[in-house]
Amino acid sequence: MSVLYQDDFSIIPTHPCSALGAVYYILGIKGAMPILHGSQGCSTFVRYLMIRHFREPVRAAATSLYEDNVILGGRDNLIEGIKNLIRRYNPKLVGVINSSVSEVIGEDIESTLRQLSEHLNVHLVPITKKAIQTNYIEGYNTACCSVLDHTTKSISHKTDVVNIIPGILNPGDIEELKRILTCIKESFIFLSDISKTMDTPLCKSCLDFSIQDEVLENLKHAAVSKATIAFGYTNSGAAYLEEKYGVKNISISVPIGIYNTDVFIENAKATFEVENSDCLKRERGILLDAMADAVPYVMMKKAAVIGEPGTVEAIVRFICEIGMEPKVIMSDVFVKGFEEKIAGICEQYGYKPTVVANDVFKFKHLVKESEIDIAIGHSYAVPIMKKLKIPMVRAGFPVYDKFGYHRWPIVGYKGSLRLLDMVVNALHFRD
Amino acid sequence: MEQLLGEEISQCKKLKIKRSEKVEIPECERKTAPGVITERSCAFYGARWILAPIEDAVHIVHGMPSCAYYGRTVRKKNYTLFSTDLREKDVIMGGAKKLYETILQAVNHVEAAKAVFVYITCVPGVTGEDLSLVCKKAESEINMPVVLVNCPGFSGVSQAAGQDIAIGVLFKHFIGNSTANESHNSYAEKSVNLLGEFNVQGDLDQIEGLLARLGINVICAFSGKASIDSIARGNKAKLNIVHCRRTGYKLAQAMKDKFNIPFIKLAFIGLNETADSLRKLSEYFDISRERVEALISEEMDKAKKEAAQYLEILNGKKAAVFFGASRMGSVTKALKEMGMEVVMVGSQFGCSEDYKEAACQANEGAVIIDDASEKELEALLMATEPDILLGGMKEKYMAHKLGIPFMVFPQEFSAFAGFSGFVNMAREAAGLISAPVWKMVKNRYRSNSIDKGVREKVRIAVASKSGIEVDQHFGKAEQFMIFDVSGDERELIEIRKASAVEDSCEAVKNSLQCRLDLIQDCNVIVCVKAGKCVHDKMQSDNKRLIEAQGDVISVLKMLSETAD
Ligand code: SF4
Repeated sequence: MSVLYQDDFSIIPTHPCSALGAVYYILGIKGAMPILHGSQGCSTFVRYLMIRHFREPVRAAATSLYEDNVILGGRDNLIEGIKNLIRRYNPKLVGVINSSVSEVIGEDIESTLRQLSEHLNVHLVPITKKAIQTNYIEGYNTACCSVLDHTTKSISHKTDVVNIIPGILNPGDIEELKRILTCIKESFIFLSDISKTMDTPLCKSCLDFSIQDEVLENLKHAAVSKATIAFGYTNSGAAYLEEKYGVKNISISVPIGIYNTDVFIENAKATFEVENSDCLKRERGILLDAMADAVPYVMMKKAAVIGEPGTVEAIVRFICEIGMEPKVIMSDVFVKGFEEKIAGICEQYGYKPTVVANDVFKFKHLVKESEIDIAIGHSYAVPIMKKLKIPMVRAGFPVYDKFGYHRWPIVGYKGSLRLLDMVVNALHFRD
Repeated sequence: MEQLLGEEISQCKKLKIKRSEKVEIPECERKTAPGVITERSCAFYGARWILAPIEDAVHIVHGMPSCAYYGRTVRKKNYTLFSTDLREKDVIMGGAKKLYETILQAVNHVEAAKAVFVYITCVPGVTGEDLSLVCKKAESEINMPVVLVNCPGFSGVSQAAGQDIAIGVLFKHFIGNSTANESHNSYAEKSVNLLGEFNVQGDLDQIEGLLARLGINVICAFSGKASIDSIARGNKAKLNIVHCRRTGYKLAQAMKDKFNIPFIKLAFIGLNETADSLRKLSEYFDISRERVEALISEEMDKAKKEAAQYLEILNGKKAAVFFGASRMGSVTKALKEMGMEVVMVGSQFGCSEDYKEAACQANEGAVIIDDASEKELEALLMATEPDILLGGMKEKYMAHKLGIPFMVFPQEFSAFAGFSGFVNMAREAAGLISAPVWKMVKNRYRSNSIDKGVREKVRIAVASKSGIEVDQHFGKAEQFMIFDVSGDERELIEIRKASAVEDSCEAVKNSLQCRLDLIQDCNVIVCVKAGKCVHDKMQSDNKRLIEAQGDVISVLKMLSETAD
């Protein structure tokens, strides 16, 4: 049935634009602000979605292009916009993101920024790969590479540090990754850290952009690190650092489930050249214990998974590990190699799921036909599952119909345990 | 606040301060300045705002897939939204064929489909491809109207433009197009349309319920309860009720011109407004006075009794209002009725009547602002210090970080319209304001009389040329603003200009010394930067020197917080 995984056209797409990914990356740098060169709708939509997910103020500006700009060009708006932004918020770095509108009218953001940056004491980073036909994964990648390109310098010596590019993960996930890494060796830097900016205390200083934290510092030193660990499909930054500075690129799956978390920890240990990490062994054991306990509830159940491709891929493996059958798999966006990856994982367990991309419509029909027992994924799938009366576990981004989802992890042994709990509860311990 | 922002206010057209009886209206319907974090949205979203609730129509976005991704959620509700999923080659080669195929496919999947709306968003809006022919062709193929809603995000200045476009579409293509041959008495003498009512959490049910008790029947609510059929029958109404001026007024005017249906502006938010509206309606339809008064007094008494406990909490509290134009005026009135003071009203895209209505209700000295950006809102909130902010989801968490309780509109839990809606609203506001959590927030800018200790007065000099932001280096400062601060109270004493002393300075004194003399009575000095000798001098004098940037109010507030 793999015919379905094609990049043809879809009538109900789940295709977040590249701007969303770029904003996601930039917001992980405290003291940095994104500005979208386009009509105001796109930026407001991105903000609105993120506000609903993170339940935090989200600051993304727009150059507010109007009809006359569409005809006469938006260069003046861009210049004025950046100046305005800097005057108001005093950020340390501004990521200037192109939109489909600025692309169609042929804006040259790079050269404008080059002229501007001579007069301004701020990092102005153009994030301008194609906007049309790219998606949030590519947006994240582009933002990451553009920022690195802007901040890093070639230095010959290497440090003992490992870079982490988390991708489209939640604040809770990042906290958990940090905890795991700290157990192994406290020698890592995050190249975007949404846990610092999108999960903040009730405190006014959280609104202050002139404060910069270590992430921006980290970015400057990313080139001298020993290796970069990146997850899923949001790994272009790691490839960039390897190619340009010879920083080892460790691209692995999102650490969800036993196998993926093992891989993550082994890689971390190998890079840090550390042997033992007993504290994690215990957690692993507890997860296995729960998996054994869960078997009667989950075995032979058929699952549908929908969401960001990297997260989906990891969840699919975990589903296999706990003895459920992945039946219908959907990636929000079309990414190369996704279908083969899923097929490869499932083959080890003797399953043959159907894979789709970017179409809720096809997804819905497949779910209906396949007698699915449980669905795992983001909130956009909820109306479908409600209609079909299929229990649903929220995971990934965006989750706007549960309170506090983003605060807790689904990565690592502990996070996987939480995911397992949610699955079992959704299947059997409902009220 | 007036002193501080004084300079800005005189220049700023979109912000006005209410002074005495003269109500000044901010200049509105202006473009958004680039580079701000705008609270506005695009025309496409405005069109969705109006059309999304029409469920027996097929909605197709012709544009980038992301427009469809975002546009499906309106007022926090998800609707099915199809898309032509344009790709790069379609942008170059034209997307007409794809649109045609999508229409044919999509129609099969909406069972009760009676019409198709095709939203044109930014990218096809730029390329300007003519799609009317394709729509004609599809129309004859599927045998139902296929209409273009030409609402690329860059048109107009805000989502208001899209609302107008959508309403224009409904008016032009649907209203009065009823082919159904219904018996005449299904339209009683007393039937009305509601214009600009979106049935959030049962608001419409409240209104309909009240009208039904007077024997008035609602044909169509644009567009909280609208189907292609009921829209088509809209012209049979005897009267149009404009509930939201922004989304209702133009349609009412057009329907008056074309179908000769009179209209009135009524509101069903707040007790008095609801009562007044019912009175006006009964007058219009010749319903006996006793009947309507009986209804009003029964409901009014009940509501007042139920609301009493909440009003006690709300009495004298300060509220700020910031949302889409629609309810600005009537909500402000309702807040006054609850005994609250309204210290700020603003909206993203209000028109001058909206502001007039709201401004009349607001307090003396209240701020009235059009299209405040996030930063402006933040500054205004800090200046006006409300006990609660009412607004859209996008402002919620910013308000929280400032320590201000927030009430979300469109509301999430219960109806706010009608008499019982008033009780719901009072209940929610009272609950939010009195929540214990706000007392645990240490940095709350506002202190109530109980926990406010007696604080020493501190004199602060701020190096600011603009009067708005800390923007000068100590050694080059042209002027200092001198404040007396005690706890949360601030007073601008005077502005001291360096030029005044520099002239009289003896030659031996350098410019630094002049400035040090100028502010010798101050305990704290705030400037962008200062040299090492200034730092040393301050230390030896036992004074605090603070290097900071940003607007003056924020910096001062931060100072008084850190002093706690
Ligand atoms: S601004 Fe344009 S591209 Fe963005 S969501 Fe609105 S219509 Fe779509």
